[in-house]
Amino acid sequence: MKLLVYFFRRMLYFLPILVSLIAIGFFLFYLIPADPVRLIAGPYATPEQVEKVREQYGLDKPLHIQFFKYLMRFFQGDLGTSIYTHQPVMQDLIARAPATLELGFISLFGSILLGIPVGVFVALRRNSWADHLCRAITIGGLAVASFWLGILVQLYLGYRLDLFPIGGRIKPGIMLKSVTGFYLLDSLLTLNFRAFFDTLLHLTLPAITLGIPCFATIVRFTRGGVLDALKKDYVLYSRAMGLPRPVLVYKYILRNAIIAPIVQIGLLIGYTIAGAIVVEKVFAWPGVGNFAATSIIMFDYNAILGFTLWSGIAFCLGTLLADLALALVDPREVSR
Amino acid sequence: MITYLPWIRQFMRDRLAVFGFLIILFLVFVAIFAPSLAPTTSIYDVHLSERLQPPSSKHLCGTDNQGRDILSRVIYGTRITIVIAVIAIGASLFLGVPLGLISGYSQGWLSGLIQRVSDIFLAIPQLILAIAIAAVLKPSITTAILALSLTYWPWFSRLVYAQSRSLRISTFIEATQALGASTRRIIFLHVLPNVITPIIIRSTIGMGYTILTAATLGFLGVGAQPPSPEWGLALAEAREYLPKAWWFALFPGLAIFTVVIGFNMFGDGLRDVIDPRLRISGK
Amino acid sequence: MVRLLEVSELTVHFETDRGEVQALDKVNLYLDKGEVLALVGESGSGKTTLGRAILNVIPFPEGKIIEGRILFQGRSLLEMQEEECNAVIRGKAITLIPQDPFGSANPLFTLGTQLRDIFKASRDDGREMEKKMVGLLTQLQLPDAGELLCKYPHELSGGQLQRMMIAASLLPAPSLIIADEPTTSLDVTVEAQILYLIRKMVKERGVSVLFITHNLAVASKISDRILVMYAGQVMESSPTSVLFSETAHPYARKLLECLPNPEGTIKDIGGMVPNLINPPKGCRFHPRCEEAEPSCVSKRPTLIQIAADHWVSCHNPARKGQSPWTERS
Repeated sequence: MKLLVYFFRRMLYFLPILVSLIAIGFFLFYLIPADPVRLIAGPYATPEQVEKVREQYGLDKPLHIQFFKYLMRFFQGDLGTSIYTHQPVMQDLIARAPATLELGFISLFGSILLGIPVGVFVALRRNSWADHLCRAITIGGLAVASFWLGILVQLYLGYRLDLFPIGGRIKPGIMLKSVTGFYLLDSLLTLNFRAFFDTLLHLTLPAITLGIPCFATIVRFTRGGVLDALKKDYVLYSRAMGLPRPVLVYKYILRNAIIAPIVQIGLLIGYTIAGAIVVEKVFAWPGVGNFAATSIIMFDYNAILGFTLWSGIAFCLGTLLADLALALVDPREVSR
Repeated sequence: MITYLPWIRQFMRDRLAVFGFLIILFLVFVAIFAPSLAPTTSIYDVHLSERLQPPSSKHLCGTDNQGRDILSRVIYGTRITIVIAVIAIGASLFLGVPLGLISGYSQGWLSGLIQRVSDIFLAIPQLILAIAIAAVLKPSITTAILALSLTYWPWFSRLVYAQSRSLRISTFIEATQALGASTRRIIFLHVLPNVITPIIIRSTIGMGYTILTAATLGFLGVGAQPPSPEWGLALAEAREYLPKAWWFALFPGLAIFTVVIGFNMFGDGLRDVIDPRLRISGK
Repeated sequence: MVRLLEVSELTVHFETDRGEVQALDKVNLYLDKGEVLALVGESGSGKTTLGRAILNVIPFPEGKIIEGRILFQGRSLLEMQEEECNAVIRGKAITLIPQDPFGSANPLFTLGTQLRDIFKASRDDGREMEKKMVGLLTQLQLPDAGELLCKYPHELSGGQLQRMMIAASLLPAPSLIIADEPTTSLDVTVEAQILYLIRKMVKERGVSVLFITHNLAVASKISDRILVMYAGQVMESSPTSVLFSETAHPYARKLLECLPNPEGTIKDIGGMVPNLINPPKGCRFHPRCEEAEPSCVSKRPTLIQIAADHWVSCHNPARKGQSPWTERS
């Protein structure tokens, strides 16, 4: 019950941020440029189309009416039409969302699954060779440009060693019935195992690229969390009172140590959304990120705005989820 | 300077941090002496007859798709990188620190407003916001710098806000006020010096992050424009010529990696020396 | 006669960034069944380290036991295997009352959960344990004990939590309780209650207590014997009343002089606690001692018995009958 109240309180906190996000979008896209109509209509629009756009968007009306119309459009799900695809931006986003979500989920999930055990492992073996190796990987992983890493990985594991496909979501030619849009799920649901394995292969390189900074962050913060917990008085007391070591480490210390990584994971969700832009571009992954990358080059105004809003919302959701997870782990959080 | 001697000595013991510092020095050195260090100064001249040559004694890093020597372009790229990073961080400081001081030290609606605004900026991934800003204006290095400054200042304002707020209610500031010191005097003499430490640490860590984001903007086409030798842009150009011209993609990326690692290691080492309490992964 | 606890020549060093800290230097003490021994010393005297050494929970690898023996009921604790120590000693035969109750309870778990996990090995039935806890807590003047077990540490007050800790230390019917400054973090009124309760429970059950404190006044109220430590060395050990009436060691005398007196004058011991990375040679108190002689620097004094149950580590102990305490009153 307390948890539900907490959840709603946190949601309420995000509402003003959401509205401000929309306002920023309005400010950036409609107020700053000299002639937003031209940009919305695109460089190939005829004068009549331009005028139609101007009327539709109310850009000749006073500011507050413009903003109101803009808000109305947003809440009706109208994000404009993409100049590039000639489809409503909302439709483009929805169509491409599963690809990005699948990639992001696998990358993050993989890095959490691997990162937390590794973090605990090296924290308990401080200054061993494993610890130093890990530190090197963490520092490197956080410093590397994801697009460079993607290119390198493509080069060596894809081209040279031919272990993995270099782009795309699935081998053209494999028929997969689309149920949810998530290829892994769909292939399992339709018992299409060939598609399943092929999808996994295609996921590997981009997931590694997107996942390494996540992995590095999670290891770093888990290691830090465990080391911090080990210094605490409650560990000393438990030890002094004879608490068996496995229980101490895997039940108690782990929960204390996991707080910092959870916060980071919330931020990483935002990173996965953002980072997806370059990774999807490098691997020709048909997701929202790729859409954003193309619309940037094309100056597809509506698409860029749509993508910005989508990322902001995804980021807020990510932080919200992390806060929830935190409240589950730390009882003090709920009263805060 | 003498008072910092014990800190400097402790810093020297951290090999990684010293290594990071050397990398930064090297970067600055290369940037300043680029014309002397680079094999050729004509980094914009096109030599189509020599395009896409692998690394050789003549071109240590090979040539790119327009026959330009990659090593020279990478060397000149250090100048761009430093300029972007320094100006972007500098501008963020210039914007963020005063805002943080105001919102932390004052009471009332202004303080809350500044906080809300920085919360909003922090709620959006920096890259996305930078892309949005850069896309609205004409893409160029200047736009990239502007976008970076406008998206990084909240980190500084939040830091300064936390510090100045906690100092404001601290007993020693109360005492100073009781003795009749003016607000301005308090801020400059007491609050600011305490705030400088976390600012310095965040600036160094922020440098690495900013360089990465700047390169990403260049890669996506909203930052540096051709024929600039900016590293991110070079990687974007290199993509088309894979897998054959691997050198084209390797060296600019290696430069980015080295520089960012340098700043990260230096920043970590600095933080461990100045304020180990901020350490999240203990050594 | 086998004493309950016997510590001989215990020497413990700590490895730190700035050097090797010589925390304990040839410490000797003994404790009999049913006794309350107060370990009195300033910060840095090594008393907490001693308590931890007995439970063998000194942080490894920073902490090194250079030499010494700890015999508990005739068995050597330092040579005991880790598993056996956990199974038989820690939380069973020897328990701990920590200094900071809030720091010592894990904030993420309910008190009931933590206690159940600690005592699970010795009690298969969790409910049995809970009943005992509730019984103990009621005796410690903490009603609604059952509800408290379902709460988290931050939901309790300092006094409540410390009573929890005391109950936990009594639960497995231990032979020895190490109480590490259990009242230091509490209000003075609460402190008085807690001290009373500890003494009562301990005497009822015949448990021995090693009571660590920096407060001589507290020590005098609760202990049968007092051991005075300074900078990792034992200075004097005697029955409580004897320490106050026939103080032998110059340091102990100084401590008594520092106690609040009716005239309202404030006295202190000149000088500062020494740096244990480079401790003074010989007797570590000699730089601040008024009775110091050249032999105090060159030769470290050993514990010599000057009366029944009265031991002093000094080349120049005060003559019998000369106590600042009796002089005053």
